[in-house]
Amino acid sequence: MMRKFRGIICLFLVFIMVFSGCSSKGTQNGATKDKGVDENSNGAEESLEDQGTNTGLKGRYAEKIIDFPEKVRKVFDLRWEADGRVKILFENEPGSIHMYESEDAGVSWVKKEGISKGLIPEQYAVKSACFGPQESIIVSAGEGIVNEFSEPQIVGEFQYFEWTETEGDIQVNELQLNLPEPGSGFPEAGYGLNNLTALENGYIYGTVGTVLGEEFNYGAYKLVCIDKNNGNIVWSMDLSSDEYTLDGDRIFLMEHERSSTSAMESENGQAATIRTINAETGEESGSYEMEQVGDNIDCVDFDTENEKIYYCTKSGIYGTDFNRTLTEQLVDGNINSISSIEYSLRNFYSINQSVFILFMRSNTSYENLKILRYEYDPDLVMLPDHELNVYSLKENRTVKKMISDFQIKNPDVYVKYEIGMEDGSVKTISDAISILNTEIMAGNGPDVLILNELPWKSYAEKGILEDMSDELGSYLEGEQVFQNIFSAYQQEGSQYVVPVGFRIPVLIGHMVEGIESSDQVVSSFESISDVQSLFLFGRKNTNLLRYMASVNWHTVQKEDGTISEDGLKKILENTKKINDIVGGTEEEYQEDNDIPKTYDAFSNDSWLNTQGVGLGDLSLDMNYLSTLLDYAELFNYDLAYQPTSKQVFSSLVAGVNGEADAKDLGKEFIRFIIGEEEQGIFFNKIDSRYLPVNRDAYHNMTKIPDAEEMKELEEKFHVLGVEYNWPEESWFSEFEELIGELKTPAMEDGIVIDAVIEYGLPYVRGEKELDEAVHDIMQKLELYYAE
Amino acid sequence: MKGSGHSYKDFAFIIPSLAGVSIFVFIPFCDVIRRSFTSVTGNVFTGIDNYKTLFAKEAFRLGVFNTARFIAACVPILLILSLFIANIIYFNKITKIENICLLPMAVPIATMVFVWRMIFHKNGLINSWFGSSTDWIHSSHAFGVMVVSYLWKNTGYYVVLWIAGLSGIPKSQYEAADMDGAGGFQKFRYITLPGLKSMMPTTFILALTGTLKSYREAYLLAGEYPDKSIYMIQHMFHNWFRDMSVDKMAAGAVIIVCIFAVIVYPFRKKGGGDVASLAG
Repeated sequence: MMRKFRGIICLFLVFIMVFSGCSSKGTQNGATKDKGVDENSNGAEESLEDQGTNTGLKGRYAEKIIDFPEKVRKVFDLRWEADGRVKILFENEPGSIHMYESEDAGVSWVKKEGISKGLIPEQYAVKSACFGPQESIIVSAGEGIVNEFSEPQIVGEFQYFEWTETEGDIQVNELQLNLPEPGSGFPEAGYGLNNLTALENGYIYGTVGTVLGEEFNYGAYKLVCIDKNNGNIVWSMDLSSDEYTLDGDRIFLMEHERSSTSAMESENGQAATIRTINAETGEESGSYEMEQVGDNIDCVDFDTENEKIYYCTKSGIYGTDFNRTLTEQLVDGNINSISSIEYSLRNFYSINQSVFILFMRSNTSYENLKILRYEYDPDLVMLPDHELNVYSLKENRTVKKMISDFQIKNPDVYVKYEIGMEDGSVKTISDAISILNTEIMAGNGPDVLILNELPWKSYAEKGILEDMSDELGSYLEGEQVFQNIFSAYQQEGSQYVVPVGFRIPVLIGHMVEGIESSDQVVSSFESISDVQSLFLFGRKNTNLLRYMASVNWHTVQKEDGTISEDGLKKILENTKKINDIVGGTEEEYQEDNDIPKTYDAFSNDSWLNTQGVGLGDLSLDMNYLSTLLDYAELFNYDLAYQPTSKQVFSSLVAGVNGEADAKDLGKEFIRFIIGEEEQGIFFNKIDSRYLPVNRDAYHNMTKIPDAEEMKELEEKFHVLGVEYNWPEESWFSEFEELIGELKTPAMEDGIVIDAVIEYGLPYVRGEKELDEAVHDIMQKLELYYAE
Repeated sequence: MKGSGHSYKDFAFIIPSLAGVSIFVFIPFCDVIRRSFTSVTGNVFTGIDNYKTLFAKEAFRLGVFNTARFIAACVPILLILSLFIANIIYFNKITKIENICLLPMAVPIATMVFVWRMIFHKNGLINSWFGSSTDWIHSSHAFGVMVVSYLWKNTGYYVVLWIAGLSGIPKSQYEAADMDGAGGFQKFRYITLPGLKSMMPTTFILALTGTLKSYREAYLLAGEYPDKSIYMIQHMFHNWFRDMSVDKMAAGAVIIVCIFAVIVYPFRKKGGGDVASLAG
């Protein structure tokens, strides 16, 4: 039998061999994704311009940035009519009030004359205001000051006014409103209504604080309903926060579950319960459980007439009905300014179910709100023509910012940001890398890879990454970037890996001159008499060992790839000495045993930075300080800094997937993020975790700020009790020389670091002998390097 | 017995199965063979460079050695031990033990690894019972732990297989041997072993493939880079995939298949499926 079918089976096997040799890439998902090769053009690759548009699906909310005629600092109230008329009450300076009107649903605005702070007594500041019945305006104001945080603070009695327009004149009528007695210990001065709203029937609503200092305990605020006609309290209820919304005849309150969500999860909304209160009686009339809603009630708008809820998070604008049967994303934040990390959401309003107005506050300046308007355009294509996939293993805010900026500059490109560790099913970095590799091998890999914590050396050697030498030629030849930083990542003359921003590990404290090795770092510590003053050096145990290994690994790994046992011993010994000096017997406050999925593996990692303070024009978390020198002066520290290891630095690195369909777009993205303009994000207080690789951007960074910004900085420093001075040019020149000496990337190999920590940490803590620790590390790494 | 005049209908009956196996096994493996001669991207022909690289890798040699050592240790012990237990169970009619033989196989590997860690950890039960401080998992003793683990989990399965084989031996032969005054060992040597001869190749191949699949226990127990004594070929494949060394993986897979084929070849069925020919 076998003889008879032998021929057929042989033919079958040959067929299989031939068929398997004609392997092709997996098909791309999504109709809007670029097709790198037009199958009808005999394999010729289409240029970006020639690549086809999407399937023709149209209809999208178009974003428009409103060029408001005046600075908007805080919105008091916004009302709209069915015919598209919109009016707004706001303050542009602390304690002021203005009104503007729009006839075209918020596109253009005209000032309403007569509405100003001049209508209230002198020395008074407006605390809150709202539109009242019969086109009136209700105002809450009091004798006040502007405190050091530029907020109006009422220090005297509150007064309430109703402004009514009569024959072109504004009539001011003082209201006598009875408030609940303040809680014990609550001062009478400065006690009054805030967050005003009003109904047509004359009921005024507002919140008062009841207990000082306990802002997050239930009963810290009271929501009060007062009849303005007789000033009597109609009803009141205790609240845990002073946020509420009035729409129609209902009041809406939001209660979040206070869970330990990450910053990103918070930005994309949280689970909350929305309670509804009958505005006239104060009785609770229902509640809604929302899985994802804006971070505060001001980012939620209710349309009681149509029983709709609209809310805004960083990921976009959503609409749902009161029964939550269907939740729809109306505006994709990823392709709009909503997702910009530069801004936080402040107020959100829906108008006529087809227009949304959003007020966003800059994270660096609280003086002016940015106004975005979204209106449905049925002719606008649903998604941009082109798609670019950017991948990073862990969430990176710098990358998010760059993507957002690229998106704004290229509205015809939809940039999708994929985070490997974000998937709930991924438990380890190894799993995430395996998934990524599978996608790359199947032809579905991302277009741009943020290579930190990925095996980028292996990717480069195996031709997975695209050689960017040609694209970056102008940058390198024209010395537009720090060439030594780029050279450190070149392999045989090819630039597969592109540094985007870099950092220098520094030691801050009482310095020993000329630190060039870990021995001298130890000497610095040994020379310190008062260890307790070293609170700046927050690294102990795991963080310290990781830092020392990463910065000094070039003294351990030999050129042939083997490990120097003596070098490894030295690192462990010196780490232990430092750890003993800084009292590293207790565990650090941060839990670093679990692999953080949502923290930026690079920026938030304390390996190569010192509690957020770095070099150059970098800011601390409170955004008040601009340089390390300022920090030192503020806290009267006799401080200097030294690179912890000469010539070592670390970078945020990126590469383009050579097999990706949109690799041309990926290259364009890379060129964009190392360009002078985009590199400015590293010193505009938006993202101060890196130094720019672009020389022109660096020189822009060193320029003295303009007069307005200098004045702002001087005022802030004056509040803190110090005099502000911009560093001398010589300081920046010396620093630039220091940058020019950098040539060795710090070791970031996760396998090596895990091995060092797993077997080295017990020694650092005194639980193991040195030889045993070194032996264990060597044994593990020998296998790794032997592969 | 079918005559030599077979129709093509016979072949048509195996086409669905053959197609399925071809799509999910043969075709992918043919691609693997192709990739073993190309670069990672599969576009550049590299000849036998991948094979040269592989044999030069110390890790590959170590993995092959450890895998061979593990097979050499586990397979004979497994087969002999399971046959011994099967004989005891079968001839003493201890059916209750037979019923629980497969229980270890039902235990999830993650659970089993968890228990092994509790027992063999440096601060585990073994050390606390005997007052020792040996790190059983992260030292050369890990090999012994792996062997014990594998035998514990799989012996029951082969016991059941042997019992099935023993059931096929006519009892009349044992009765005749008893009448002739044969002892237990003589009956085992002259009746049991010949009776089980036909199923020995199958059992051996199953045991062989089973040992190759024991990587999961080693990975869960000791991670991606365990002690050198239990660093198997699959560890390499897992780590190469992380580094996207697909070319080396492909070459390694081809080498493993070739070795496996050489080992298994002598056990192929001879005579074109003629049962009578196996008796010789």
